[in-house]
Amino acid sequence: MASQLTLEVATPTGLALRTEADSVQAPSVQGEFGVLPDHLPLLAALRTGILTYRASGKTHVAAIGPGFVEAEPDKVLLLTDLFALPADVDVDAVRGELAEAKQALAGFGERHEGQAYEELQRNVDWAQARLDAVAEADRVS
Amino acid sequence: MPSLKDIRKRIGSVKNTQKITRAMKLVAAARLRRAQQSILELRPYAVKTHEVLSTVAARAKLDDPENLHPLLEVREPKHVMMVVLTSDRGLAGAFNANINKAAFTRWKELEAEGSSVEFMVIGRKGRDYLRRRGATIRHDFTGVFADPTLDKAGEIGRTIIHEYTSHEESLDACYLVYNEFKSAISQEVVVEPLLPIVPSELAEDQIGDFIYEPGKTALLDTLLPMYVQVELFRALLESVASEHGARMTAMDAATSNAGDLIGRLTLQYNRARQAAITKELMEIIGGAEALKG
Repeated sequence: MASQLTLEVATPTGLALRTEADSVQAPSVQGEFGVLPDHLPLLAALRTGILTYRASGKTHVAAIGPGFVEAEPDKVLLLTDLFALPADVDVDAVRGELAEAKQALAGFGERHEGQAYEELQRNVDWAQARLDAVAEADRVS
Repeated sequence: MPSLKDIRKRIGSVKNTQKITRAMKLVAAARLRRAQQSILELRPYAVKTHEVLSTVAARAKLDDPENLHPLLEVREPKHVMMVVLTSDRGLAGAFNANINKAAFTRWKELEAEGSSVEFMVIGRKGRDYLRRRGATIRHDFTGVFADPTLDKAGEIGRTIIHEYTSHEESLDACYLVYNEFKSAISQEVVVEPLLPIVPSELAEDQIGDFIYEPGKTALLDTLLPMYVQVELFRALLESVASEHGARMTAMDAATSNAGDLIGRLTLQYNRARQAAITKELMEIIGGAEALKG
């Protein structure tokens, strides 16, 4: 019986996080889900949002981009393009990015498709996720 | 016999060249360090992506071998695309020549086997070489290596997948030709199949209950392009590191060759100067002897 999970976050720029955790919560494409130790093997696609995990009685928060999560009884592995800890987020800069991306997005009007549109949508989501992560981190601490 | 002035001029110009090659070597060494770092950072991600994809693809194959995702389906290779990674700039020793040779050999092999071959070239050197040899170049990308990013790899990946899955003249196989980074002084050309993706066999204990969210097919739809993107990105980084490694070695050799040349020329210069002095002395002595009468 595993009583703890090893949580790993791998990004193209290196292993962003590796820690022991009591529980992990992540946003899958079909909604938030939580993993406790001894979970059935699971593979899910992730959408941009916030990752929360509890370790030694404290709740930690991080913003993650789209990717995948693989859960095993004693291990959770996240593969994602983007990862940011709330402490590393420059709130004002991200607010600026968000406003800029939203404005560009509004320029698209009704045509909600194509590469450029998706890219902008991704920027909006990522900026929002980082702001949410900061807000969430303030709330839980 | 060149005059003293000629020799002095040559020494000067070789010295200048040596300064340039030395600077290029230092620049390459610095860039190599950065490129090596990026590869090390990417590696765990690439390995894990491959693991995850392999499991899902193998299960999909096990459950429903008839109805495979197009990127997993193995077809007779009638129509093949080779993705060739060279550099945009020369002066990197045999770096580009090796790649071009390997690509050319494989091209002819494939043609002999009855496949029609098309190219996607990344890097100016490969494009120029293959174009001269009359290859069909479907796509070419230049300027990627100055700053390789995951997004650029994604763009190239999407182009490949589009070619692979579009119905008209669709591709049956896709190969990657690039320099694999071994160490700063050695690179190895690899020709590696990129598509179709062949999943590794599942171990006994991996065949069990597994929850997929969303379904296996939907997961594969996002996982496969991501895998292609990561593979390409890895190849790009390997190539960049190899290029800088090759340039560093080549420039180091050039710098020491210039040093040898300077040594030889200096010797020649000193000899010529000595000969001139001796000649003058002989003339003076000869003149004095004549006056004695």
